[in-house]
Order: sequence, then C-alpha cells, then structure tokens
Amino acid sequence: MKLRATALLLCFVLAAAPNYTFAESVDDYAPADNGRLVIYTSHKVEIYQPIIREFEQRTGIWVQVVSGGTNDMLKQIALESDYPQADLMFGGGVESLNAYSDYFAELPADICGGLDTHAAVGKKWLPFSLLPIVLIYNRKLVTQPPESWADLLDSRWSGSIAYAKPDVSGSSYTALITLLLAVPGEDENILRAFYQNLEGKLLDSSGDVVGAVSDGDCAIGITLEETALKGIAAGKEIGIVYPADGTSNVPDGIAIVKGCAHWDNALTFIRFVLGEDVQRRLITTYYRHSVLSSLAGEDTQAQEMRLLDYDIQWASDQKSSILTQWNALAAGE
Amino acid sequence: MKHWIRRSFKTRIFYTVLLVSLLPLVICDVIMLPILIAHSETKIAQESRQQMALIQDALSGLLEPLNEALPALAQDEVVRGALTGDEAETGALYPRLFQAATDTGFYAGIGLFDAAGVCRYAINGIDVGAKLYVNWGVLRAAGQTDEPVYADGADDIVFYAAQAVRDAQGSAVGYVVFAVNETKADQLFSILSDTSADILLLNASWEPLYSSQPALGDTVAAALRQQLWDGKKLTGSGGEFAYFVQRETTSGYFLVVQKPKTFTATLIHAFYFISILKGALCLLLCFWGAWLLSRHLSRPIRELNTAMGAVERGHYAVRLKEDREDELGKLAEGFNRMTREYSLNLQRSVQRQKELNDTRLRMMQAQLNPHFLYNTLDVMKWLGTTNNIPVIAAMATDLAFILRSSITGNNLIPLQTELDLVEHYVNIQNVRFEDRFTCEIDVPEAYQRCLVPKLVLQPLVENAILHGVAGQDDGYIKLSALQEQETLVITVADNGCGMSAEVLDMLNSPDKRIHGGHLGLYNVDRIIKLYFGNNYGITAQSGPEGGSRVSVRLPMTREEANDAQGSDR
Repeated sequence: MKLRATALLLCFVLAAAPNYTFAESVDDYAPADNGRLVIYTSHKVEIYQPIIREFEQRTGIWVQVVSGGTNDMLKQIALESDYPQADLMFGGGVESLNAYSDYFAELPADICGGLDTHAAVGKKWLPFSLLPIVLIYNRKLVTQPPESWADLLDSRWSGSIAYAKPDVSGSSYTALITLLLAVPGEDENILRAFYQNLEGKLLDSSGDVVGAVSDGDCAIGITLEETALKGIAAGKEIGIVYPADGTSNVPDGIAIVKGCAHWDNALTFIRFVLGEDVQRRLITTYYRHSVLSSLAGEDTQAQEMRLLDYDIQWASDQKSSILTQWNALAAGE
Repeated sequence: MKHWIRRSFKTRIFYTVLLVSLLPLVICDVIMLPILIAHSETKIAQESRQQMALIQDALSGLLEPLNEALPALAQDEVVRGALTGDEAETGALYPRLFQAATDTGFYAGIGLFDAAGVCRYAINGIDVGAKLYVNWGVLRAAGQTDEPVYADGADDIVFYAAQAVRDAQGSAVGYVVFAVNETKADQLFSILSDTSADILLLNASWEPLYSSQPALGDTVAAALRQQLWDGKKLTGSGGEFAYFVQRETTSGYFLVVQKPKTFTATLIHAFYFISILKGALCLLLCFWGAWLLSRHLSRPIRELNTAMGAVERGHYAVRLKEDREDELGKLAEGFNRMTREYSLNLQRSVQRQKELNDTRLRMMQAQLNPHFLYNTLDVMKWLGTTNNIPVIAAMATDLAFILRSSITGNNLIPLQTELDLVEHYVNIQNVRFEDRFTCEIDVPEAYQRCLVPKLVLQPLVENAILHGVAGQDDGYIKLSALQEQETLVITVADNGCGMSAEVLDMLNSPDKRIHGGHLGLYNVDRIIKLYFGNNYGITAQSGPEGGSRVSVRLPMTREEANDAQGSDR
C-alpha cells in the first residue's frame, strides 16, 4: 500500500514537471503552399541568387533552392520521381535535360513565344541562356592566335592545347562535336588528328582551362565564352577567338518536374527568367547570351558570332559512340 | 514484492535508503531542471523582448522619417527639376537632401537617379555616376508604384528605399533612392552591441539583409528560413540559441534577435548524463549503506536469536558480545545479566538441594544402628532394675526415649514431643552433672502442638549445659516459647558463663560458619533455614554479667494442618 502510494506520488511528480519548450510561434510568417516553389539548380550561386531574390520580391513567392552539379540534381529528380520534391530544374545543358526528359512535364506551347530562333526549343524544356564555345589564347605567348576549329589540328599547337576530358566535362564534349561539325572530313579522322595534336594532354576539369592558358602551361585553350570572359574580368591575360568557321551556341535549360506540387509558380518562374529583365541581365552581367530574339539588338557579340547548325538531339544520341571512339584513341596510345 | 521487501531486514533497509537517496535526486532532476530551464528561458524571453523593442524603435526611428522624406522629395519641384536637367536648381537641391539626411539621422545615403538609372546627385555615401538597373530591383519596384518601396540591397548595401519622381504625364523621370549600408546599419543597431544578443534583418522572404555577425547571415538565416519553410520551431542551426522575431510593418522586413540559451542541448544532455551517473552512484551507495546497516543491525539480533535458542536448550553459559553502546548493546547487556542471574540461581538451588541431601544422609546414618542400641539399652534397663541400680535403669530409659525419637520417621514433630525429648536429655545430663543445674520448661499449652523439626531444641539445651552452666553449682536453664505474629520463638536461656562476642557475632551473622564447640547450634540453624528459609533460624544474646539466650524462630504451623506434609517427609 505504502509502495503503491510512493509510486503514485512519483508519477504525479513526473507528470507535474513542466514540459516547457520554447520558441516563438512563427507559422504565420511562412507562406501557404501555393506561395512556394522548390528549385533544383546547377547554376552557380552568383547567377541564381540575384534572379531568385528578384523573383521573390516581385511575386512574394518563397523559393527553396537546392543546388548541385547537373548530373546530381537530375539523378535526384529521377530518384524522387514517385514523390517529386522539386518543381523546377533550373540550369544544366539541354542535352542533359533531354536525357532525363521522362521526368519532366510537357510545357504549354504559348510560353515560348519570344524565343530566339537560334535557341533550340524542346517540348519538355526551354533554353535559358546561350553559352558559345570559344578558343582562348595566352596574349603574351601567342602573337598569331588560331582563327578556326581547323587550326586546332595544326601541328603548331601540338601539346599546347588546354582541353578538358570530354567524358567528364559537358562543355568539352560540346566542343568536340563543334569541332566535328566545323572541320570537314571523316569524324574518325578528325578525332584522331585532334587527339594526336593534344599529345595526351587532357585537363581534369573545364574550370582548369583558363588557368592553364593564363599560366602559360598551354598556349591556347577551348572553353565556354562565359568562363573566358569571367577570367578576363578577373584579370587573366587571355584573348578570345570566336572561330571563323563558326561555333556552337548550346543553351542551358529550364524544365518543370513531372507531377510537381507548384505548377503555377513554376510557370511564373519560367516566364520571369525568360522575360526581358532577366534575359537582359544575362548580357549585361553574366557574360551570357539571351535566348530572346527581341534582345538580339542589344547583344553586339551575338550578332557578330557565326553559329554552326548544332543538332542537340544528334549530339545527345551520338554521345556514347563518340566517347567510345575517343576512349579507344586514348587506350590505343 | 511487498512481501519480499518485508521478509528481511536487509531489503527493508535497502529500499528505505534507496527511497531517501533517490527521491531527492529525482525531484531535483525531473522537476528542478525543467523549472530552471523554464525560468532561464522566460528571463531570456523577457530580455529579448526589451532588446527587440529597442532595435524596433531604432529601425522605426529610421524608417518612419524615411517614409515621410521619400514622398516629400519625390514630389519636390526642385528635385524634379534637377532630374529633368535643369542644373541651375542644384543650389536649392542639396539643402533639401541634407535636410532629409538630418531627418533620417544620417543613417542612409541619398541619391537622385535619372530615368536611365544613373545617379545624378548624391550625398552621404552614394557615388554620383553610380548605376542601377531601371528594370531590376529597387528602381523597377519604384517605377511600378507611387508609394515608397523597399528592396534588397547588393554588395554592402543592406536595403534601398526609393520612390519614383514623375512628370506631369505620370512617367518616371527619375528616382529618389535612400541606401542604408552595413556600416550605417551597424551604427543603427549598435544599441545592442554590448549584449550577448545578435541581430538579423531579413526581407519578407526571410533572406538575410543584415546581420550583426557576418556568419549569422549565411548559415543561421538559411537554417531559420528552412525551419519556417518546414513549419518547425525556430531553433537555428545548432540549438544553442533562442530566436525572437518581429515584423517591421513599414518595410515588411523581419527583425530577428538571437540570444544564447543558458541551457543548451549539450548542457542539458550533460546534465542528464551526470544525473544518471549520480543515480548509479546513489544505487551503489544504497547497496553499500544497506549492507553496512543491515550487518550492523541484523548481526546482533541474529546473535541474540541464536543465544536465546541456546538458552532454551539449557546452555546458560552463553554470552553475547558487549561491544556496542546503542540500544542493541543494552539489549545484549540485559540478556547477559539475565542469563548470569539465571544460572546463578540454578547453581544456588542445586547447592541447597545438595546440602539438604547431605543433612538427610547424616541423619539417616545416625539412624543406622538405633535398634541395636535401643535393644541394648533395654537390656541395660532390666539389668539396672534387677541389680537394683535405679539410676542406670532411669538413664537407659531416657536414652532409649531419645533414641526412639531419633528413629521415628517424621522430621517435623509436635513441640510437645520435642520437649519430652529435652526432658529425657536433661535427666541424663543431670546424672552426669550431679544435679548442679536445674532446667525449667515453660511452654504454654497453646504452643505444644506446634510442629518443629526434630531434634532442634536438644542441641540448644546441650549447648546451654556444656558451654553455659557446666562449671557452676547452681546452674539454671529456662526453655520458654512465645508467639510473634505468625512466628514461634522458642528461647533457651541460661545463667552460665555467657558467650564471647566472637561467638555471638558468628551466631547472629546471616552466613554462619562452623565453629568448634557450637556445631550443634550451626546444624540447627541450617536445618531450620533449609526447611523454612532464611527468615528463620537461631539468634543468640549474652548478658554482660554472664548468661546467654539462644532463640529459635520458626513459622507457626499446627499439627493438624501439616500432618500430611509432615508424614510425607
């Protein structure tokens, strides 16, 4: 009896102990579900952050950003296909988006009215910005820079071309396809000639190309125009060559995840980033090119640039066979 | 369980010790800690509210005048004139800008941007010629409305406040822009710089505009926003801080105060870990204490129990250790005293029985040959009669009577019989002492039937004759009896030489020793005491001029009542 009374007292004491957790109730501050948007992006923070903050200020929609490499983000979307967490994939080469098109929703036809004819338009993705491949050279080492893709096969540049592995870098692969498009002849021969001219010098990352050229490690290099322009802005002594035989202008894209929770907000975001305000900033601030034909007049560089007819679908389809050939060359050395 | 606890001393002690040592601990940990936490958090919340009020006031002190200054400047003709290109008006322009700066406490830089977004006039930190995009950020927002707008800053600008300047047609000809940079914001919020509180200024989407500590803006703001997004409580990134939020209504911005918690999760975990350790230690101490206490208490009780059993089986020599001073020690002492006393009593009673047996044995031995002696005496009596020597015949008759009395079976005999015996004895002694003494027996008839042990008076008379009147010619011995309540006192008095003080002392002491010549008295005393107890016996007195009195004290018992008892013996 006494024991039972003690146990009862103990229970009472335990129950009476205040369960005091403490944080201000701030539920009201977060928007309702229809005021939210989840974006997976492979853009760098200096690109996506100002755009998203401007979007939030204009629309009041809260955006949650998950950022990472293109392939990681796409794999994540594929992984979550049953319960999509993301609403949008913002960034990533359109070839990659194309490869994962099963996981993206079909876009309404009227959304892509003002797009540049140069920009390829897919049914499940839209181009966001254009990223031409250019040749760069060290301004101190090179007095006579290469003028075209064909020059890259010249023995003059043997062993002094900064080029990242095409099986690792998306832009390197695009460059390889561009080379095949620009230089007349059998693909296999061109590949072999180019590979031999590299003399086995292959960089691990496309980010190393500008550094390799500006440091004098290589005399010339192949990279994205954006990367080169940023390097120049950062004080690297390199020059840019827009190949005379034309270059590719492969866009990075944007796509809505199939079955996403915030479809309307996702469409609002696409209209915003494909709107003039953001597209103009691509030209003025981000060293990129707009996909809007209406802004073509403001982009002098784009006007001068000669473009090749780059078939994204073909490039995407050929990727494995071309890389197999490339690796065979590397192995046969 | 209850039964098990009650079954042994040890478990009872253990549970008692456990209860008294664990209960305070549990009370401390389960009640006190949450109370302490609640108290500390209430205190933090109180402080935070005060600090929040302070920074809220500071921010309002900037935003309210700013909200008035913006429309005033935007609608000012001089400002409009300056933006539409009339340089002559600048003389009047700057005093207006400085006035606005004064009104807003110089916390904001002020710039007038033209329709293309180029800064034309500026004071207090904004550069003339600086460019803002008219289709982006603050200028775009200002272009959309005629109200003051707030927008996120870039680089070191915390936020912008702006309003469009419009011409008569309503199209924007320029913008009045106030910019608060980080240095200014530091000054604005410096009221809390001495405290442990940190400040975050967030925009409407909970993205950081300003933080009093650079790290807060990047990590903490992101964590808070994520928690808000997930609908969780605001605990920040590490759980070490408490957060308090207030919305600023003019701008829609959020002020967040971050205060370090006194009881962080780590501390609470550490506290609980220590509590568990304490509990374990208590448990160990309980076992130890219970073991010690139970050994201390139950051992003497067990020993007492064993000793009691031994006593029950008759081992009276068993003793307990008396090495304690407490109640149990006293109990052991008492037990020892009791057994000691008990065994002593037993010893005494055995001794008494033995003595009684010895006396009986002696008496029986004395009776061994009485018949032969009696027959002999009878022969002697007839020889005396036939040979005409009457003295011998009389002596033989007396002696025969004495002998017959000796061999009767009863140990207790009527006083009358004993007196007859004394008379016969005196007759014999009178022959021996040639009638140099007389003996008077003066016992009332009433006492004659009282029962007395056999042969108790004869030794007294013998003593009076041999040690009293032996040397005298006119000796006198008187035997008297009287009653003192229920005690019969028989006194043998003589007028002889008396007794020495030494003999008197011996006779009157409770522990009489056998003394040469007075063995008879001693035997009488022993016999009486053996029969009736120590309250009875003999006493002796002696007068200064000679003569002695020896008294026998006996219980007054009548023959009728004790006949059966007497015949049993």
